[in-house]
Amino acid sequence: MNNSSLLSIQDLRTHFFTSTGVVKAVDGVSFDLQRGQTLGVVGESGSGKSVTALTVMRLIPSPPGRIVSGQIEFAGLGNLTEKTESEMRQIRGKHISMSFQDPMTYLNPVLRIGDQIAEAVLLHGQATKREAYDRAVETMRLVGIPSPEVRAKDYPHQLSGGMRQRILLAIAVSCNPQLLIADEPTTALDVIVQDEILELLRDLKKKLGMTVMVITHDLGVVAELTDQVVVMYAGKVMEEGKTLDVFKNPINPYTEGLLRSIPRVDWGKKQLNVIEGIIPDVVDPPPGCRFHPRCPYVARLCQEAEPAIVELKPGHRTACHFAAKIYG
Amino acid sequence: MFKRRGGPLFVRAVDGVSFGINKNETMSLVGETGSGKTTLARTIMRLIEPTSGKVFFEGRDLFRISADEMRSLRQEMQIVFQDPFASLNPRKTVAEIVGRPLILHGKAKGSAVRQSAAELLEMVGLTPGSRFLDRYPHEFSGGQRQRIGIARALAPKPRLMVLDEPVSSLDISIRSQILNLLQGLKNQLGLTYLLIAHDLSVVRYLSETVGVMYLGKIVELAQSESLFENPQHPYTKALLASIPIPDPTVKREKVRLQGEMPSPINLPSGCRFHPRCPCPKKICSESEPELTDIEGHLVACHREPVD
Repeated sequence: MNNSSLLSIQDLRTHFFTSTGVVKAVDGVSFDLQRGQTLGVVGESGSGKSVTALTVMRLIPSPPGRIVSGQIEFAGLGNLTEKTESEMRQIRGKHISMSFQDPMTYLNPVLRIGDQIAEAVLLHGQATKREAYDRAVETMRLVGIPSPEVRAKDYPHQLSGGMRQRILLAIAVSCNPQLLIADEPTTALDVIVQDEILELLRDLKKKLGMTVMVITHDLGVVAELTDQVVVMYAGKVMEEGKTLDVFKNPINPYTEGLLRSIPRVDWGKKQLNVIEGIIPDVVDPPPGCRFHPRCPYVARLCQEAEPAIVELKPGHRTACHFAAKIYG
Repeated sequence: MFKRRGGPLFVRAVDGVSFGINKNETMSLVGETGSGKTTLARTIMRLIEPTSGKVFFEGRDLFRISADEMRSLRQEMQIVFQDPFASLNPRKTVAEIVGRPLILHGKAKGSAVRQSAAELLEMVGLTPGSRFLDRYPHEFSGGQRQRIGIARALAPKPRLMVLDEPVSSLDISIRSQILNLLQGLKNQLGLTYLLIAHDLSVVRYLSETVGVMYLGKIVELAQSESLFENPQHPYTKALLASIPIPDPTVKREKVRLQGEMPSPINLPSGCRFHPRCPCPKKICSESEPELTDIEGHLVACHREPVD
């Protein structure tokens, strides 16, 4: 971990011990998050992107989940994997906050919005109830809720989907965290509202000086919002680098295939590349490289040995046996 | 709310606008939540009964014909649903799911049902089909289930297929597989598609004609390429400008709309879009614009055509 890192994850493994077998949801993930950066963690279902975020928050239900190995170093706080639950309670919200995908599930339907935000403030500060409530209204203004004094008295069902997402972000940033983890912040939203939430995330980051980690499956969101990107597949990091480098010159067959297979609104009817096959089951992942059954460059080595992640170009890492040959 | 009239694939909306879906083409309806796109498609399929209005298919009014006639007409029009988990019966095998429409519509009998079902599975890329026949839906991934849903829709040999968000619940590396499959089937079988989607990149990839819906009305209707290259209605412009493009070097031009979509129960006066429009005029709150020809697009907007 170097000096400018806020968060450094090393060889993290989070497994779930279920009756059908061990789900290796996160299986040897390492990456650094620099202070002031926006990092995108992108992947499909089963890639382990959300479990990585939940592990950082130490919100993995146990049992069946367990951090099998690895370290999560957070600047000034040490290794998060060694913290007790009561220590984590002091860290969550204040140092690291997370907003979730589905606002209706995470907001309490029988509490007024203002009170729900104030609750988070009360938990961490020495604020009185009155001060906490005022802070809640101010935070609502910050996230762009019109006439926040009035809306603070609303219940969640009285708000639109976009407004609810804003409230979740308000709760997350109400105690000025250093790191905001936004899990699929735009997924359930219509495009116009989605664009407004992206704008809000950029705005909040600037105003509050936060570091942001966005978990998403949407490459458009990654391209718009992030400086750095981690591409995950079946519990592993496949590629990591500056967003511009990864999108312009991907050095992993999975990323390359993905970028060529998504329809683009600025492309028209250009023929789409297809990644054949199905997403692997993480209970019984393919041996060797986990992408090998779907990889167009597959060779015998790929079926036998798992590729290590290596820095092929400055600041640009990939886990592929033949990356140097294909992309070098 | 709308009428369908005339030739086999010809639609007439309530405010006096007609459009046709040409044979072997894809017509898309796009819009946000609450725009009415899914309701419109389901009403055409007679899965929802309208309060008023007519739907014609091959000159026959779907709401006047008998249940028997409707059943035989259903062969011609099939639907593929959004959620491949909810739309397949978990207690039936694939042979039963795909075989049922074959039996119902008299396309196959007895031992020929399994044979036909296997052929349909191969047509959607599940090869060899016979290997999949005795499995249950839970044994398949999301993409494979959507293929089964497509095979079931293809079974009665339809001419029109309604695709209701066919890829939106699939993972991104699977979407292109299904999109290419749908495009291939259309060419191979001469199908006509009515596509319902909120993802405009999918719409652009598949369609020839696009109708943009806002609060139950079509606000712009045009040839796909022209609509994406040169949108005319302010709502279409805002919609297109808000799509994140997976390319960090592309900078989008921002179009900001005011407020949120109003409730369809309490519609604004005049043009339904006027409270959010970036350039409203006095007339917009007073009278509802008709669809008129602007630059080859049908546009429901009071503004003068400008470049």
